[in-house]
Amino acid sequence: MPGAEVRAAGPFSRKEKIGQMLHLSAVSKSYLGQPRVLEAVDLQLKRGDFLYVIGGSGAGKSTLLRLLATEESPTSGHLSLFGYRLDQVSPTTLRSIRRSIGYVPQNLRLIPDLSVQENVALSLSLAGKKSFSGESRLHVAHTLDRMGVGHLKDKPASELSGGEAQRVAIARALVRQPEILIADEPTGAQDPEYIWTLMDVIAKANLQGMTTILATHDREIVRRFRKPCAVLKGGRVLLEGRSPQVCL
Amino acid sequence: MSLIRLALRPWRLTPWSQAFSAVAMAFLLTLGAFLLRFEFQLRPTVQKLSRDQVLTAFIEPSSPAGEESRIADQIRVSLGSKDIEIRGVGEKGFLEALRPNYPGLANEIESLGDEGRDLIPRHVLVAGVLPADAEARVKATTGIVSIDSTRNRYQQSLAAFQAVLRISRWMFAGLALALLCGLFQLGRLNAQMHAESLQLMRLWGAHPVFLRIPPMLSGLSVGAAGGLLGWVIWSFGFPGLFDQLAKLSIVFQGMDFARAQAMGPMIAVAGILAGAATGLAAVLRKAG
Repeated sequence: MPGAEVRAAGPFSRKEKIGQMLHLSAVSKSYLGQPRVLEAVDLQLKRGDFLYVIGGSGAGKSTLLRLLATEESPTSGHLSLFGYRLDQVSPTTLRSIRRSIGYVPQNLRLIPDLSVQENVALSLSLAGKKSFSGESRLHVAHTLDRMGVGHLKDKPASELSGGEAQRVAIARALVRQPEILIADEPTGAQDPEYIWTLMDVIAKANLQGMTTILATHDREIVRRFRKPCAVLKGGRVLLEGRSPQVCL
Repeated sequence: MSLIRLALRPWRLTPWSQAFSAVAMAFLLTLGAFLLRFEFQLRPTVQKLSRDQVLTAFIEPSSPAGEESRIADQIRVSLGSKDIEIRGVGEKGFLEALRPNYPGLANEIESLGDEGRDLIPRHVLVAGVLPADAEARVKATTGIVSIDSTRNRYQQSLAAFQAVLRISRWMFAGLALALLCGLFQLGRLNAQMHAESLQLMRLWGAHPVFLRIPPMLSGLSVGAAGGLLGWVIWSFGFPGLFDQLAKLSIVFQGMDFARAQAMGPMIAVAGILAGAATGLAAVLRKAG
């Protein structure tokens, strides 16, 4: 598999051995003039863990994932990734941490001016790989094929359908072989035939050691791929566990 | 390639804004270059006029004949410039100069013989662009009793030209400010178009320098378009403009505009640099 040789830059091996991949301690988040979106959230994940984040609209799922993706900072509490507290790291370390994260935001945010292939290649190059090397090009092509969008590689991202764009966004996150995958409703716009293909790819990467946090409201996914989940309600973690009583 | 496509995003989304900015920039650059050239050419001319004078240094009447040549040599050594005309005028030279216009007077003085020698003002003529202390240096020369100077003969014209120079400097500063403000504003607008992509790339761990490349290239593209258009305007508009200027005053005719064509590439380079710098400045805080 050509992709197996391309590894994202991850200077955290010593910290990883300790085992703590992600740690949230009493994390709260509020926006100016608005009630708290997250309230004293505690979470811990080790390398290779999988966690569903479940909850209704406005439960705080996307906010939590934005914090984990380092897109926003908590209003209070501490968030650690790879053993580093994010409020204490230098910009250089923060960049290294970000290079080890694969993030699929809810609104996808593909760069409309670039083709599908360029979107994915740019993500790979920013993870520290030369996107124009033969090996990297093969890796990009292979990742796009796995997501079923290989035939769209030269299409501008602005011309993709919702489902296609979602698959490209997942390819863009996975191509860098991140230590952590953070995906916010990554299958929301998919045809049923693709949902299970995508989940298979994500589950395989998780089995290979990629910590995965996936926000979804699709109970069928949770039912088929039994994994631990955290149920959010009103910005608080209401329940945490892996039993059907908690997750379904 | 991806970066270039990102950089050209403003051209795709707002092509007319970019094009109008480039045209405005071209004219501002061309006018700025014209004023700069005018300043560089007029300033030495004005300086030359302000120091261009003729000194008449009168020699001690009792000094021996031929003394004017020795004094002229002394002054030449003292002033030390090859471009200054220094000439001793003795009895013979004075009468020769007098005769064409006043032949009767010349003959009368000549007829006086030795007695007439005392009437002839032997002198040394010093003409050209003289140093500021030329008068003092000539006066200090042994054998000189007094000096007449034509200093300030261009005083009125000089005042007018100096006013023109001051006005052109203000205009140049105003144009430069307008150019930078316009470019900076365009850079801010373009930065908004890049904001989403930059935010995403920052999340992917992009280095701040990398994040500045697309906005910088955007600014550079507008700057390059404006600079090249300015070069074209300069090449075709410049000769006519200076032809008209030369008709205003003989002073302008004396200016060396032959090398002004070299300003064309300089306009292009200035456009590129200004565009890149303002594109960069517009996102410095956002990309950090």
